[in-house]
Amino acid sequence: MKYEEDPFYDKEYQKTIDLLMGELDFVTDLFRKEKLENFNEATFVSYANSEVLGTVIKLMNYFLVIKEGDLHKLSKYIPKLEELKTYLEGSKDGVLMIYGINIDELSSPERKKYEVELAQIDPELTIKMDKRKLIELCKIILELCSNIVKLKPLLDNKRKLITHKTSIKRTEKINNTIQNFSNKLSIRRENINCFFTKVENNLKKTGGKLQVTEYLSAYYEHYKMVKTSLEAEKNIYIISLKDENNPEMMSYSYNLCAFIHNQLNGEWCIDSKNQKFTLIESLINTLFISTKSIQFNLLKVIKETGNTVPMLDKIWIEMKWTMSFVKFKTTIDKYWKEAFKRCMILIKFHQFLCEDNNSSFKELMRSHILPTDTIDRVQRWTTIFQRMSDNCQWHYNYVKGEINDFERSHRPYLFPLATGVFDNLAELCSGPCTENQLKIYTFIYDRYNGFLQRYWRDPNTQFYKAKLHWWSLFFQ
Amino acid sequence: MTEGFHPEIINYQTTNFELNMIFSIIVNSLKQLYYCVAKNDPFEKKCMADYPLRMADFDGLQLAFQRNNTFSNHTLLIICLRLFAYIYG
Repeated sequence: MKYEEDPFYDKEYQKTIDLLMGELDFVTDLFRKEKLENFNEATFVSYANSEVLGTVIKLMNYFLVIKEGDLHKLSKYIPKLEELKTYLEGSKDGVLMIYGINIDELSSPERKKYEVELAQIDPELTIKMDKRKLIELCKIILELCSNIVKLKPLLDNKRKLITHKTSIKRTEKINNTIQNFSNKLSIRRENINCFFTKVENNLKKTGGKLQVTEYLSAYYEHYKMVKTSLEAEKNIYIISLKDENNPEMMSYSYNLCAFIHNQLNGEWCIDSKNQKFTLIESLINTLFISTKSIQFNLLKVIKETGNTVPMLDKIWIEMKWTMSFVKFKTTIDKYWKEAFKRCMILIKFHQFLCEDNNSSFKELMRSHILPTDTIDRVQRWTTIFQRMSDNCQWHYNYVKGEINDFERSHRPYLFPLATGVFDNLAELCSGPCTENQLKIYTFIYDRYNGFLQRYWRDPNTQFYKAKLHWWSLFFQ
Repeated sequence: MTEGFHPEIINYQTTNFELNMIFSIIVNSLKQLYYCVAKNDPFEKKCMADYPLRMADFDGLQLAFQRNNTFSNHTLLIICLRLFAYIYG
């Protein structure tokens, strides 16, 4: 950038500003060609920040030392300064693109103050207005440039991470739109679709298959739909799933189920287990509140996969392994506690699937046998209790009417698991579901009798809770 | 399991559960509850038979039920009530 004459000559500012804008255009073009030509980042940064934007800052500082007497000379440059300001703040392909920033991010309280002051001046006071305008415009440009020069231009790899086009940023932006809920129902309905506008546009453009997973996952994360909590009823997105008559909500619920199903259907490698358990917890949460619509849609998704139920198989196998770990680990540490929590989640998941007398899931549990198993899931629940009771000696090794103390072998901390198993069995048989009842009514009475006739010294033990749940199972 | 009253299931249950067992569970649960919660007994004896429950204790039981929140909401009492309702219901 070379000037033929001294740019800081008071009659040539227009030319200087034009030159600067031209130079900024050149810098933007150079940045766009970054991939094509030999591009030295360090040189580029030094040139764009120090030379070009540095010159703008220097010029603005020069304007700011204005004296009353010079005002008439400078007031003619106001339109040009406005042009420069608009240029800097301007289009998406302008200077801001190089740094990957949005003009909203650069707004500061100072700047807002200038704008407010400018708006408050009486338009009839021309000289005062001109002076104020000149100063404010220069200050805004100066602030803008000094904010920009602190940053480094964004190169391609980094831009991908922080650009506004990422799903999270997009979701956040749309979330802000939706936060301002309208009183009109039609507008609210339109807003719900905001999340999928980009996807819909892609679909129109390409006519290809929708890639919604990343948008949905960002969305569910954002709305904390993946955490079980008592507050869940207050979550408008979960509670709205309850509305079975609303086709829009049903399709939303179907999307949710399909997403979770596909995620759980994948490989359960160690790295992704936390994520899978969060998803199951989320499913339990939504099942707990909007039971019927989620059950209906989940079943629909499961049936679409054909005659097998790979997702349920994977969850069952995981439950079996976690249960073994919990049962046989001898020390109770944080790993045991984590596994115990997971085990309870998986047991609850099975229970909630059949909640509210859902005969379809009960039939699914009855009819599908695991690939490596010989009996169905309904009978398997009885054998789970059988093994637990055998391993922990809950039903034998005592005299009738005797009051016992817990010993190490009894593992009293496993009683909540037994309660969960009875709850599951009760859910499978209630309704009444005679087919399921007939499957299990002849099993393990010796264990049940022994279990029921046992008494422990501690009246508050979880054993009695398990006993109560057993009675609920048999005499419901 | 009794829901629906499938004759086969009812038959099987009545032959495999002794009615006495249900009575003894009601009484023993009530005993343990009464001694541990209402009387604050350390409950250190070996057998349930060592803890008698007589008609003289009825007032104590009633009082505990009315005044002691832990007693009236205890799992052992709920077991007693559930089984009682099953037999007489």
